[in-house]
Amino acid sequence: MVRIFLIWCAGLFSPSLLAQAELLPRGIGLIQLGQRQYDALDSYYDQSGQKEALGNKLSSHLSGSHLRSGKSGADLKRLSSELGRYQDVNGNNLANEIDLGYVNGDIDVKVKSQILGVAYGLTSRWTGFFGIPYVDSSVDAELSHSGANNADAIKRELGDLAFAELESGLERAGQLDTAALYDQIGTKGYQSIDHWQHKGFGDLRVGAKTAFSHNMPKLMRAGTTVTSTLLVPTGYVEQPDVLTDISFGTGYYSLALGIDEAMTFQKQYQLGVSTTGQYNLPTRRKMRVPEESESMISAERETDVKVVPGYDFGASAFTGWDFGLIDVRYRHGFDRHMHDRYSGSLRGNYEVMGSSTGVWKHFHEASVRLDTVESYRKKRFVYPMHLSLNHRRLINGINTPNEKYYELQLNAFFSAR
Amino acid sequence: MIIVGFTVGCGSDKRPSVKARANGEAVAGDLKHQDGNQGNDSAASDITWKIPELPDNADGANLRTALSKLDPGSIGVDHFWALSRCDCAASFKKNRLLEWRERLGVLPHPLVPDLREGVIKDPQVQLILGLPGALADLLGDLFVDDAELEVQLVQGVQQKLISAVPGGGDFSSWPSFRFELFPSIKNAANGGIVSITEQVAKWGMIWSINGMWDGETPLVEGSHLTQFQQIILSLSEWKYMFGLDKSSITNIPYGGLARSKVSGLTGALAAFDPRTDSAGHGFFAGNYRVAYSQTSSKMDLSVRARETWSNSTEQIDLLTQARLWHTAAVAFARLRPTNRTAVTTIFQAGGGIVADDGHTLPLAFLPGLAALLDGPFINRDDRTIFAATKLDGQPGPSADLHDLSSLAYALGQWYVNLEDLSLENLDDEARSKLESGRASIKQALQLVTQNMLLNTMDESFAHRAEALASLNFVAVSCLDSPFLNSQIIRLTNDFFSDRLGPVLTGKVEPSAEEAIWTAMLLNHLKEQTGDANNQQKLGDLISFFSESIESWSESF
Repeated sequence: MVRIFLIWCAGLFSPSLLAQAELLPRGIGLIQLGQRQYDALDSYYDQSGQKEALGNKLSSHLSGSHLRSGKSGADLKRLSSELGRYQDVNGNNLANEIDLGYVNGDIDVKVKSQILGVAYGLTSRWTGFFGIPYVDSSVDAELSHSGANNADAIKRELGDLAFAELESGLERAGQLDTAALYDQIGTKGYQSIDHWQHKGFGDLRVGAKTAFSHNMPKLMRAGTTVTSTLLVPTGYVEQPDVLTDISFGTGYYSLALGIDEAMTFQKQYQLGVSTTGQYNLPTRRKMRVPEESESMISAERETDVKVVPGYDFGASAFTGWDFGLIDVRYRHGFDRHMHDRYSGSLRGNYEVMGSSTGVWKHFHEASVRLDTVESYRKKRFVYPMHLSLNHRRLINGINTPNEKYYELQLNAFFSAR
Repeated sequence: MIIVGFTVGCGSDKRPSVKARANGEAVAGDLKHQDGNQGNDSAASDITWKIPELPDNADGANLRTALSKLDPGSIGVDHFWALSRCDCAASFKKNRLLEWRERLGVLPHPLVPDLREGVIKDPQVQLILGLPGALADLLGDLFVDDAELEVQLVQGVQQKLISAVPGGGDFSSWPSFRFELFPSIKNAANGGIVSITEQVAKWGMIWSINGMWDGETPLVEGSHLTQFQQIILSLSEWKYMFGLDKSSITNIPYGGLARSKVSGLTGALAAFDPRTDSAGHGFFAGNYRVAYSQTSSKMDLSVRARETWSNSTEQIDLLTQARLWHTAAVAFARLRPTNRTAVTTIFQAGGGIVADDGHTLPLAFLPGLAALLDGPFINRDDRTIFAATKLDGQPGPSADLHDLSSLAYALGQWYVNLEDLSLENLDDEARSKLESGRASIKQALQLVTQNMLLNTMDESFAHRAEALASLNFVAVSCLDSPFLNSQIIRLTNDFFSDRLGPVLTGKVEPSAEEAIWTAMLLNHLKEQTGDANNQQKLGDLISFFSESIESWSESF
């Protein structure tokens, strides 16, 4: 069993939150309210980009190769190593023959969030902003054991040839069942996986943006927007004794720089590209360090770990069409988070901790927006605002849940002049 | 009087489930090894023996040629060992007994402890010893017939042996024999050197001869006396090596040639008596040489001489130690109270000269076995078994199949021996210690067997045959394991097809050692299989090998 969500939060509340807010005139402010609802998360993209059922994160086939890899824990790896010293009459190594059945997992994840943001035109060139999400999430999980377990048969086969420790190991392995799996969770000092729930804030974003336009032929406009953001780790971060929790924040400070290039044709059609780069500052965190590759790590191995997060960068292309009151937009891009590196004073396998922290997301977004600003200016509408419905989904990815969400966002403008 | 003594305890009437093979090896009473069908759950249930049939035109010429190359100049300790283990070559063993009956030993009669004490306790000698120095020297020559002293001593021993030998015999014209300790197995003076490797081969052969132990027809015509003599000589040699007897004049142990992990290979030799040193151990290795002040007076030699021993050992090899432990195990099996039915007369209770607790002498080798296996020969952490050790903490070369086979045999023998000690006149503390030691022996045996299964492709077919015989024994008597049984069947079938088949058809000439081990392997299999067809085939094959071996044996 593995930790469910490691860096999912990296993409939780970015691009559509304020980063896309326009540059505001001096003295003009904006309050952003959003409600994001994620579809039931039932699949994820694994390390090789294959889409798997989310329950597979809890599932595994306790075959010889799995035991040998160490993912089932140090004890079963030792058992595999011992059995490797025996070959049966067909030349098959007993370590390859052992099969303890299947662990099956079922997970139900629910996530929704509200977003609060404020932007203000500080000068005619600079707009400051901050924003923070509030997240409500729950995870329900269930384990079961199925399939034949041949540990007892191997134990009988070896008979007196097996050392007492091997005999005992095979006996315990032969008793593996659903109850034993849950016992192991408790023995390792983890909280029950049946239900986890948390409500709280995500990471705070504080930043400023500026923009400048380029000389363009008539009927064309082009401009560059530069956004700098400081991410403050105010969000919940996964706890070492919880297997099925979701981080709402990254747990580290970050500095992001985004550059957008956009061209508008005849005030209606927009085309542009957006790039972001983010530097994440090292931090320290309490984590459990595996000895080998085991998924369930003993509570005794919790220690202070130095985390050096990888860089984040992303790029997307976007287009939009302004129909006056309504405009539509489409964005297609990718986000990439480089592997994190872990280290600490406790001897263990820090490399495996960072092995699944590299994230890749290939996504597209679509939104429909009701824009009353112009109408307000022409006194045809009572209030200037943007009301948009956004939808984002992944096309493919690596080490990320297959996220899909719908978001209703209201940007209400106000004047402080 | 020669007493081979040790500690004494209490006994009961229950018979154990251990029985002995013809060569003295103990086997568990119920044969566990079946003909391949091991049960429903076993992957090995499909594997069965593939015993080859003896071809009609098999004439054994290649066997006879191989054995003919084995002559007094080329026969070595490995051949002696193989011949000891197989139930064959009766003539060879008989001729060895006859040779050794009168062979010179390294320690002359006046220095043999039992004989020395006979001299010291002689009334005339006692009288002389009570006199002041110069007078003792003067009168000693007058009162003691020095020239006849040695003859009288040996004749005295012979009389005691004659009166105790199982089955009696006509001794009216029995030749005298020598009772010097540590004679060589080869007809050579040996330069006064006692080679433990060679002595082990000798002891192994002596204790493997069934003869008097089961009341069989004596190998040397007339009586079991020659065999009995070698048994008593062997026990005396072991007592001397451990230093168990003390001089009644000085109270200093006679002999005492033991080494320990503490003294290493260069420290002083010492006595080791497990009766008084429950935490210590002693083992023997390399070559020993004795020195003593030469004198023409045998009485002086007995009464006054202090022999000194030196030992040169570069390393302790597992093969020799394993064979020594194996021999001690066979000796224990022979001497234990529950197996004395045919030899009651040799023990004190039956009027004989061996102490009733004489079976405890071979147990003195066990502390050394435990000490050497725990570290010097076996690294528990990485499960490595070493072929040799210099006791310097450095790992030695890895043990090969040949070493492992002997070790498996030795451990297996002790494992069987120690199964039920309730009738063996041992005190509770000793029995408890041995029973807990049995658990450690089992662990070592499991490791050795596992290593053998991983190293079966030895380039020597003799070693493979030996290994198969050894694994067979372990599977039958010690480790009940369908996996092991199936592996043995597979390996044996491979050996039969790779090697035995071509030997039977005369296409290849085996070595003499291979022929002997193959004969032993076939005998083991015949004991175990219940299949009538296999019995027939094995009987033919055994006859094929036995005829050649016996024919060679008669000429050696």
